[in-house]
Amino acid sequence: MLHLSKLYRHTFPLALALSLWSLPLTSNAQVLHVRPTLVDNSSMVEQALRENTARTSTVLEGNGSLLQITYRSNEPIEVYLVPLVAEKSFVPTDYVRFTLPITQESTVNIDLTVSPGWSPGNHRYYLSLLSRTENADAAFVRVQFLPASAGQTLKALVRHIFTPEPYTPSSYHVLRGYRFLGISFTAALGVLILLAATLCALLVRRGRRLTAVLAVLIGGSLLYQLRFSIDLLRFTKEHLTGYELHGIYDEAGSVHVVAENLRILTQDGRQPAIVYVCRDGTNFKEKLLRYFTYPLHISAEAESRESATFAVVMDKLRWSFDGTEKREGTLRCGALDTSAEKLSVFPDGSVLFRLLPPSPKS
Amino acid sequence: MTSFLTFAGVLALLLTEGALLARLLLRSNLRLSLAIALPFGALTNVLLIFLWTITSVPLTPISLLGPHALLALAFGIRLRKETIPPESTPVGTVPRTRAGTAITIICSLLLAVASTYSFSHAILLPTFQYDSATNWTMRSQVSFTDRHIAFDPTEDRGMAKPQYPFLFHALQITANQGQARWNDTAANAILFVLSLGSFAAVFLLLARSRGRLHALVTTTLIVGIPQLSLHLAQGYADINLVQSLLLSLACLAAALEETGRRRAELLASALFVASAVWTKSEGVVFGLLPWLLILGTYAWKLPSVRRDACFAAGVALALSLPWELFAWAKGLSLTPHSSDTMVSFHAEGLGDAFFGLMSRGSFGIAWYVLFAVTGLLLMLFRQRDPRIERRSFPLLAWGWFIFLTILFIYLMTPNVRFLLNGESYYRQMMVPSSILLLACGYCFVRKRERVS
Repeated sequence: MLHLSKLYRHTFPLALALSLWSLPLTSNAQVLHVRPTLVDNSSMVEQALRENTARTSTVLEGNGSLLQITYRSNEPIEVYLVPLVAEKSFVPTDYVRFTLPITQESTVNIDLTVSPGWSPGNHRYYLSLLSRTENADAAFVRVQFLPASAGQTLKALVRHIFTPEPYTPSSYHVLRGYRFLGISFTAALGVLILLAATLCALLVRRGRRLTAVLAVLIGGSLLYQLRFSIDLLRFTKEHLTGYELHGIYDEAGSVHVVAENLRILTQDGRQPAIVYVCRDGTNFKEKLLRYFTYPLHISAEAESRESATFAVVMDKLRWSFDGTEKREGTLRCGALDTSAEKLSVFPDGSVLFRLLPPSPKS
Repeated sequence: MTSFLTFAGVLALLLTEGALLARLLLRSNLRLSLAIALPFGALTNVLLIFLWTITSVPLTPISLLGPHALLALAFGIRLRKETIPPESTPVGTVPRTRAGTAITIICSLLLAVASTYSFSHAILLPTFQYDSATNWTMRSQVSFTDRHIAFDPTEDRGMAKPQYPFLFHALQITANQGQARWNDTAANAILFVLSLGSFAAVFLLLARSRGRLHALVTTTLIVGIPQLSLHLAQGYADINLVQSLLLSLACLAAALEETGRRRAELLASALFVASAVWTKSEGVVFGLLPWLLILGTYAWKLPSVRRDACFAAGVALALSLPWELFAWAKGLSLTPHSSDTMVSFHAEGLGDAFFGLMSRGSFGIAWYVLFAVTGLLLMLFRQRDPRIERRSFPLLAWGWFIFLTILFIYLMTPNVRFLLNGESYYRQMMVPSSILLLACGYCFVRKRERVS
């Protein structure tokens, strides 16, 4: 979630030729189906920021559960949208994303209720728009909010309460909590049970008063825990399935498989194993790789490339290798520019190379 | 398979040693002895590794497993000479009311889900957390390879925070003895068993005096704190700190119940508070200090406790201070971060400190319940209501002391950054929330249960 703030900070001038409400509405615009999804991990945002060089942002204001956008664009536009809770602040877990496909002119209806920050009434929404190239020809023809019915609001409320808690096992520190219609579920349930306990204290006869008050307090706690236990089971299923079936463990990706390969390759000890990690983003996977391959020397420092015998490319946007599988070629990645042999490609896209021999750029 | 059998052998040794010690000390039945075995074993293990650290003896299967086997043998021989009377306080039966059955089903379901999450993440899945791969399991691995506890001043070998006490690391190192190379699963599995045993022991200790349903609800409320459930996946020592302090509180509460084992129960409480000191730096401020204050209060108010309390305090200090002295002599920081002692008020943290407990998801609605129940208990205490156990009432002070200490740390020192960025504030608040829930559990007297 940390990187969502990056989206907010990127208020670059319009690089893509995007102009809101710039053209008159055409009557026969095609209707496209676009489903927004909650942004539940920061790696998704990091990747979007890496892949899309052109960015702009805007604020929309209106009252409704559907945002109807008529637009045209000659390349896909990735949109990140969040309801603003004050002048410039928002709750990171309220972010939704969707992609507007290429079209000469189409209309899309974006379901705003996907965001737990949505609620009935007039709201301001912050939009970040990202595209791959700076000379994209894109324009919003018309934007309007379609009002929510009582049924839609009720449906949104239930959906929000059962929206999974955003969490990854690498972050052990804080849970943002469930929210519905822009309200904290924790605060709402907490206040509700305090009121109920007070009512019990006032209305229940003396002999049973303490039991009634405690029953309400304990019942409320167990209710919250039952809700959270659904997510505990979901985390368990997702992590076990990803790891066992696909070789990917949440944000750690395939680092465990990469480590296993490196251990096998270096177990004879014939050559000094120094592994250069070429990556973008945080050093999380690098730390894990160091743990799982200890005592191998793992480093992303440019100085280590000269003595490196292996290289792992992970979460890297711009790099190249002109060889093929099991054939030599030149690997260019970060500080590395050397001939190499491609050994393995892993489920999360990481690639392992043997460096033959290292030839520093400078 | 060999790897599993080796681990099972080491685990069996530690469990045997701990169970025999528990039986000797607490005169506990088989269930409680087995549950509390590894918490005791973890303490003897860290003290053993500390002894080998100061005498520069390498950590090998012989130097580690040999003394454990000797200790188990000594406890066994001693136990053969003792006559242990059967459990005098019967464990309450589950009431046959519909409400009781429903509560039992819900609590069992919640505990089963938490256990499933814990088992799968600790044993079936590999280490994942960032700090595990540096401060915690990584340091254990480096120490295992070195055959000495590592105190690397730099992160060149990938480990950080040499100033952390090493009960966590010591247990992982011993669990890996006999393995050809570092076994990540064994390292996390031993901590899973430690958690399982600790919470089972807390349940059994509470059930002994308050009945099973009462104990089941209290244990579920503690284990079900969302942040705490997640930490059961292991990898950070915060959960081990919580476990040691809960066991210490449960033994302290048991000592006040007049069961005729006061001296032994106070001693057990002292041993677990020392475990907390050996687990994390916070063990001194969250464990030893308030424990000594509460024990002092009891000793002052209850002359019959005084002698045993002084003995227990002496044991706790004797087992805790060596780490502090060692760290000081080695030039290691006695606090987790070097800037922890710079005091000034950070008003910017007030909002996060409040909303972090009351509107975010880490604690569910635990803090609403704790504020309400503490208020209720205060009222009943003043009214001299017979439904509360007056002797257990000061135990609440332990939790609130930790709560206020944490607020001080995060609002009055540069640690405010770990509050604002959503980091350690939430992990540390697990300690007072769980301690307070258990203390509340002890404050209510046992409801007469219908025997089936």
